[in-house]
Amino acid sequence: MFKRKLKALDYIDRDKINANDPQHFRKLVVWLEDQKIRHYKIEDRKDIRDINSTSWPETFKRYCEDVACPITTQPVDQLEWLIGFAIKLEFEDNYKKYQPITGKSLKDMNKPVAPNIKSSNPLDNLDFHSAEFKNGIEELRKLLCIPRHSDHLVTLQACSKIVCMRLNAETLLNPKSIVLKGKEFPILEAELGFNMGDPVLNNAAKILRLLYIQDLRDLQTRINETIVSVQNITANPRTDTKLGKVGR
Amino acid sequence: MVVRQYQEELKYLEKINDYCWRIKKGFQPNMNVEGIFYVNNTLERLMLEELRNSCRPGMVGGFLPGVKQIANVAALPGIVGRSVGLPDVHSGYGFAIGNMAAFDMNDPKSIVSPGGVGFDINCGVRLLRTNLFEKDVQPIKEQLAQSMFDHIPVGVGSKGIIPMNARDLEEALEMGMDWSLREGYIWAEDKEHCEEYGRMLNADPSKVSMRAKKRGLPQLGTLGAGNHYAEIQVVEEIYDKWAASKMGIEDKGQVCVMIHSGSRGFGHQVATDALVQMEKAMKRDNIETNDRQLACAHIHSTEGQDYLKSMAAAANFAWVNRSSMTFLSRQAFAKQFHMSPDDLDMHVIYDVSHNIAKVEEHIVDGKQKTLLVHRKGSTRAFPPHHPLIPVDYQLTGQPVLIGGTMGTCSYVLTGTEEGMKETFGSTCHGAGRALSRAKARRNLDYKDVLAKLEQSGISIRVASPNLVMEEAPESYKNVTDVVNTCHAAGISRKCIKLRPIAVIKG
Amino acid sequence: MDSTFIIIGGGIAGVSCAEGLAFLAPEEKVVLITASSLIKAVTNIVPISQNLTQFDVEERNIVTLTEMHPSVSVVHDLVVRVDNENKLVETKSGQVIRYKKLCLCTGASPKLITENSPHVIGIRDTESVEKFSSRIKNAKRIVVVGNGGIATEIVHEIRGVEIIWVIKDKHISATFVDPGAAEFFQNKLTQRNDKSECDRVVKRMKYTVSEGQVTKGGAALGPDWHSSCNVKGTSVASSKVQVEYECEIIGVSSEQQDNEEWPIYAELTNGKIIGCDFIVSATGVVPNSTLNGLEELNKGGDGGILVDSKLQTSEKDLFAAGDVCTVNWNLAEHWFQMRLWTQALQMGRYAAKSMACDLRGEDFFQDFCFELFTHVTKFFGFKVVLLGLYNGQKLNGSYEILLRMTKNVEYIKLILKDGKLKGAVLIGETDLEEMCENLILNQLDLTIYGEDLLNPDIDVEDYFD
Repeated sequence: MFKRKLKALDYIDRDKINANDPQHFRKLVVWLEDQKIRHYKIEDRKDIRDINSTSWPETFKRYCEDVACPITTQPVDQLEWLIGFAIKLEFEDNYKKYQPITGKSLKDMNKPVAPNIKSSNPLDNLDFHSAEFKNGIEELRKLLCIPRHSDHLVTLQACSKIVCMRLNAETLLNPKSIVLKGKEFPILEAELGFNMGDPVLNNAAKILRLLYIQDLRDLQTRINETIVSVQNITANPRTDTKLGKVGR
Repeated sequence: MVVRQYQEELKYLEKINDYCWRIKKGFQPNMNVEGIFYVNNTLERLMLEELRNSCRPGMVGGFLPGVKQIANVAALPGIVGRSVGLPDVHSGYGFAIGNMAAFDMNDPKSIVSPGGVGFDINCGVRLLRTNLFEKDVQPIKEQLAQSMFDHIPVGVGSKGIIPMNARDLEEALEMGMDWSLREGYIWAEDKEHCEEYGRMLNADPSKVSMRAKKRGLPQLGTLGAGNHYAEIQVVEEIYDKWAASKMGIEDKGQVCVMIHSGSRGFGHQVATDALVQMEKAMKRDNIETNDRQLACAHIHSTEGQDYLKSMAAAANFAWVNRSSMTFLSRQAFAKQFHMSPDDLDMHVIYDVSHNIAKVEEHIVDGKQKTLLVHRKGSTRAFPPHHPLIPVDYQLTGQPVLIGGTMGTCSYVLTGTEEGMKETFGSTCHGAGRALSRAKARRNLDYKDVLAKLEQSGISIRVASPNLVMEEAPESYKNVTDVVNTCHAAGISRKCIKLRPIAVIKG
Repeated sequence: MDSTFIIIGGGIAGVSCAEGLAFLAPEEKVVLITASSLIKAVTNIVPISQNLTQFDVEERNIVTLTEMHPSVSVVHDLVVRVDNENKLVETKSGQVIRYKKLCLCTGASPKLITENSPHVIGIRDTESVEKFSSRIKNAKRIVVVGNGGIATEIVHEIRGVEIIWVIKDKHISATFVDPGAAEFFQNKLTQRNDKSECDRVVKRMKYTVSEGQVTKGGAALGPDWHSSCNVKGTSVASSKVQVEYECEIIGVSSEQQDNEEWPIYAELTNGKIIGCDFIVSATGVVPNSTLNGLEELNKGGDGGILVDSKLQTSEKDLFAAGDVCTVNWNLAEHWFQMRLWTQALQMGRYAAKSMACDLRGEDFFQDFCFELFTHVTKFFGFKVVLLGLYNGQKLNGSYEILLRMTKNVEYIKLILKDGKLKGAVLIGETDLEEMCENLILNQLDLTIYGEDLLNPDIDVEDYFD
């Protein structure tokens, strides 16, 4: 439940902890107070340490009030707050140690030291902005019938997309698998349903709609595929299916 | 209740255009907003005839004409916009069937009313497509219908084809179609083409009475009688080629399966339990309504919340029901054509709910508001680009499935921006009935029978037709008139017309 | 032999119980012991509303049950003793079968007005139908005693025989319908000669009794029992029905009376003495609740074995379903017991559920079919639907009737108390079954509708959806 937070606090039993077990719960609270929060003086911690006492819930309630815990709903929620509170205290105590740590620095830290070897991959040594490179892209673009973009790198991306999607080995063997079947929808003749007041804008809107719908369709298809794969596990039509296979 | 002559009543009604009438405040007492109803010439005649008949002396019975019921709903606390009558409106318990009304969630006075949802909670329609054509099915349609019939589970003794015990029921009530998915009765894609993804998340089975659960258990996965049925249909007409093709409908003659079913006895019990609770809550909270049948409670009261949670459980029940029927239909087709349902392309085109209350975002007077939208005998019809409709229908608008009465044509419509503005994204639900029905003049003669019965000393009342009624209009409001009115008024667009070739009645 | 479940009796209750067990606990062994070589099977189930089902009963060879349900084996034998202490059943042929749970579905026998006359026959099981149809071929005049379903059907179906119908009530078919509905049918009774045989719409499946297969003590009949046997007598001239109201038979004798010669004479309480070829006794049934070893079971006033809401008898692991049992739980307001096919089917299935759950220690709800009395049958060619307290049962006369009738078309009677619907009789194609059922279960206050509830100009079918 609060494993990550407890890990940050180095709580030993963090993997076994069950906040719904009163023993676990109480032990954790005592540990938090003893090790991290230290709100009471050591001699005043007698009551809260007596985790087998029947009056412990009241003690806990009072403790929550004493540390000014704003949560009054569930003990578990209060516990979560206490853990958060402990982390805050921990951070404040070791401000200097933790402050320089950011997402980026952490990533750098975890990265194995890059081997400083000279790349043997010729692509790494290309100058992507040389005229030669630009011309190459231009040739490729013409070959693939792709419109030119002002940024030649974007044009390259478009080329790459076409090559990956339509010119891979599998597709070349079986071109029908990628060519969409069915009748084309005369979108430019069809009504858009709304009017932008300018025919060019309307056409642009239609094209955007089409692209959006295509994305939606892909999403829906993936959803369906997911459902089917789940069905393979759950389906159990309790009926006589001799007559015809149903489901797929 | 106001008693007025027909001519006087008409002063409160105003024809706005060829397809739309306004009900002005004062038509019924305490109206907070105006009413509106959609009709074409034929439906208009039926609607006004019904009102005229109710104005005759002696006609003060408990059955109010639809137009009066729409106005009574307009008098409920917290209603916003207008009380809307769809073209198939006809009288029902409290709210007319074919009435929608929205209440502001942020107005503490706003109410939720079980009468505004109906007893058969989440009664709805599901349409499955196939890649078969009429010529494939026509020669064996009898066998096909029979084999579907064989699969219709039998209710008595909880011996359905899909066995359920008390724990399954609890789970199904909470999970809706996710239960069917988990158990492997349906496909992942089914969920995506279902209003609310086939599950209302606020469902709470603990708010549902034991009696409702007992009543519902044997009926889960059964088709049932009355207005519940399944039909094998073929595409008769395609009005909107592109929208149809988005639904996988390419050509005339393509075969579809339409399933019509709801929560049955379970929903009835949930609604009944809520009505009892709400009558008490109304006294406590001093809520007054024009009609005792409009029992309701503040949305945020315990009764209101409990109802919404148990209603959601009933809605989930209905989705599990339609999912079970889907499973059985796929089995029947697979058996008959020796092909897997997958190879038959038996996908769910869509699944709509007719009797439900949902929390939705709408623009009212230029401001976005959170509303509790009651739709009774009315279908949600959201326009293209609405975030709550499936990705496949983002460009076409939500498919709206309109079942005719058993054996007549059905339609698929799509939602429109106009409908979003005018009717909170709602349209008709199917053929409606007129209050009056042209049964052949009956030879009602009680003399001999009464003589025999009177000996028992029990008080006896007899039913008799009202003799002053000059003209009894036809029973049903024709589904084509209904759909054409919605199309012409712009609150939904015609897309596909379907014709039944075989009916499977539970 | 060992088995998890034993069912005694191959009637509707027994077979539906076996089928139910095979469905709910396919891994457990089920033994059904039947005295007859034929068993009953329910087919063509048509749900008419949520709780109302119409079905047919077919007689099948015992092997068919095992073919359809591999976990079920059928033993054609007679049970001579049940020992619930040691959980075993002994049969006449000396077999001893052990069980964990036992269900008694031994049915009931016709109450005969006299036991020892060859000219008095009861109609109850396959054997008696066989006897009846062989006798009717040579008959000119018969006396039918009783006012229930079977008596009504005999009177309606038999042609070419003069029938004297002796009933103790003031009107015909009193078990099922009220005097008003009887009046509605009266027409049919007098017009029965006009009707040509061929226009009878027979849409339900029939069963046939093959010669030589009948054993004594078989199971009770199902609906449409009469359609397979030849129910035509010899008298071409007279096919009329004479009803003797409010009387009973006090005695029968074979001594010749008057100048006509008949095999048997019935003496009625109204003083008449009627001679006839034979007397059909259809005055009700007595539960077959006497079995060696079961003397200690608690029984009701009608001799049926008392069962609790789980259909368990006064002994553990011993269940009973169908005609043999007498219900002994706190009955739902709109349900009561009647020894009908409908209830045999419902109880058989529910007993299966109860036994299977008992074995596994699972909880279950009592089936909802015990919340509302429902029965559908056919009288005089009309569909007859009975719902709830359809004759004001349990209401002690304090109720109201709301009526609609169109001669020869429909008869609708609603029983209302304090503005709430308590029961209904629906004769003909009324399309009101589901609505009535819901209104009874929901107990909505219908006061404001008054007579308009049945106004023929108003269509209320989906008003309460």
